[in-house]
Amino acid sequence: MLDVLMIAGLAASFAAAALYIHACGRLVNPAP
Amino acid sequence: MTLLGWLQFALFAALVLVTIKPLGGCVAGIVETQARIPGPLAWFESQIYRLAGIDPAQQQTWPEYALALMAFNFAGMLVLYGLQRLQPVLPLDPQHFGSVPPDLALNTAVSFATNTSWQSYAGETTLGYMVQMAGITVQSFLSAATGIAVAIALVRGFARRASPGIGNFWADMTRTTLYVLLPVCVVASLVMVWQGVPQTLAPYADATTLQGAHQLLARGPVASQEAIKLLSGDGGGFFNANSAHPFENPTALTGLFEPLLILLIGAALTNTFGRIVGDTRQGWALLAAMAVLLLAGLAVVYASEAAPNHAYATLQIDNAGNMEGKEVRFGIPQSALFADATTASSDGAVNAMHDSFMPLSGLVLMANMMLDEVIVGGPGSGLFGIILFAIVTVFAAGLMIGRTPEYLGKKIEANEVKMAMLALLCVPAVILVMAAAACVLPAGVTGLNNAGPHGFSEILYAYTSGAATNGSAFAGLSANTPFYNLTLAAAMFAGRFMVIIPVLCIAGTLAAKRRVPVSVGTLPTHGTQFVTLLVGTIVIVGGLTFLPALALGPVAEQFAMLAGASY
Repeated sequence: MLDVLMIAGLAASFAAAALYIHACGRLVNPAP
Repeated sequence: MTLLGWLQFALFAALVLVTIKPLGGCVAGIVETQARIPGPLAWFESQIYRLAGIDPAQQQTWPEYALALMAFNFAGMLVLYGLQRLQPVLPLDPQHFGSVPPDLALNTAVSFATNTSWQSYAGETTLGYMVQMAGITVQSFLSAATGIAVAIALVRGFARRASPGIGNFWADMTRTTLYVLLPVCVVASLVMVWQGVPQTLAPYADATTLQGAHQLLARGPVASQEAIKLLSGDGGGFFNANSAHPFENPTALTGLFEPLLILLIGAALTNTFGRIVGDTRQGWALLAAMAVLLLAGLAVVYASEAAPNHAYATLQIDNAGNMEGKEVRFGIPQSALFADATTASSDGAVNAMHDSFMPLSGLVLMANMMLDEVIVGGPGSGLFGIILFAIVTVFAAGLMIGRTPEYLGKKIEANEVKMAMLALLCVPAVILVMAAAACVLPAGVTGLNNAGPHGFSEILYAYTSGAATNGSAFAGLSANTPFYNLTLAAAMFAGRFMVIIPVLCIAGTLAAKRRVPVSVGTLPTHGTQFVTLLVGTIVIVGGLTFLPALALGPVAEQFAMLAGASY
């Protein structure tokens, strides 16, 4: 159970990082 | 302080300087695919691409590069986590250590994949040979290659003109690992073995002491891990005592060789930078700024440690400096040099207990990390860290003289400055917010072994070390608890990737720009004027951000010590 929680936490962190990449992209190149 | 101590520092500086040009040129040739690779190695490299279905010539945009990097690091963390949890069923665990607890396994997985190597465990009582070799050592290679790849991508941003791509992450990783890290590590491992560092898969040795007692001597494949531990900027030791352990750092020669390995790639990359942008003076300017900060820190640490200890002033003992927590065989100069190099470089290996250094020295060690890995730094992270500060410096200089700032022929505009500030502010935010939370939460305070400003320094150091991806420990803090394992894992993750992503974004925006010709209004970025401005920017930004926290910790402790109080 704890393993699932740890891996889910890790996956959520990487999902947040992917969103961060997207947000940085929008910041430097705003959508028209 | 002694003349011999200063001569050691001079010898060390000379050795670092001698390696910069050849290694820097070699790395530039490799990452820009101009170096001649011997046939069998080139064939091996091509087979890796073929098996993985990668076209190394395909250029990636910065989001593609960043997503590939994140996916690769995610996979690395999962593998390292799995290896630790599955340790009981893995081979090469002669001491039968059992499974690593989940929170500790997560902390260790994030730690080594982010090039931090914060260790809440003792290696010789927790990890078997398989996890040490296939987990810890492999991640040390890959996290270093990741840092170098990011730095090279940023440098390409300056060198390219109106290009949508910043390189290929998979090719950069492969070439850096195969042709830079592996060859140097093979040579360094052999030097370690020559000097007496163990390299064996045999179980721990049962030795009989002179008194007839039995003692279990931990050993294992230490030399192969030791080399990349130092070279990668990772710093995670095979043993809990790290480079203070005689099996990790057995002789005076390794005592000099190890800090050299720590700074080797970080220093050489400044030359790589200069070569790729077509003006090696630019690289020397960055190196000069790093050297000023490194030597200033070393002078303060050495002077502070070599001065008589105030706490011993009334005792009838030899009081020729602070030897508490230091190996007698290294003495004060080598301990000061190692401590300054390891915190400046983001390596985190230690040959002495930083907790036992004088408060002023502790301040320098923390400040080195707080400046965001710009004083040589880890492989790649040092270079992209100081380039971020260079961008802020030319921006500030541009504001002063009323011109659009330029750096290396590229206009520095709002996008680059926004991203640079995002990257530079993220690490302080993580350090200060998390350290403040740990100071007031019961789960944070219960880990403390010291009261007052020293206890605060222990917490501040831990989050600084984590977020700056250094990994060294102040000691004195019982960090192997779910609270510290999870919050430090979060600090390491944020401190690594919340910096790397904006850096890659800057690389992308710069690569897409055309070069502007040099004019009379262009700020020269290769002279002493720029180096002074750059050092000033680094110190002021770092100082303003962290001064209040440092005042509560090491500064308060220094004054308390002078008044006769200790913690």
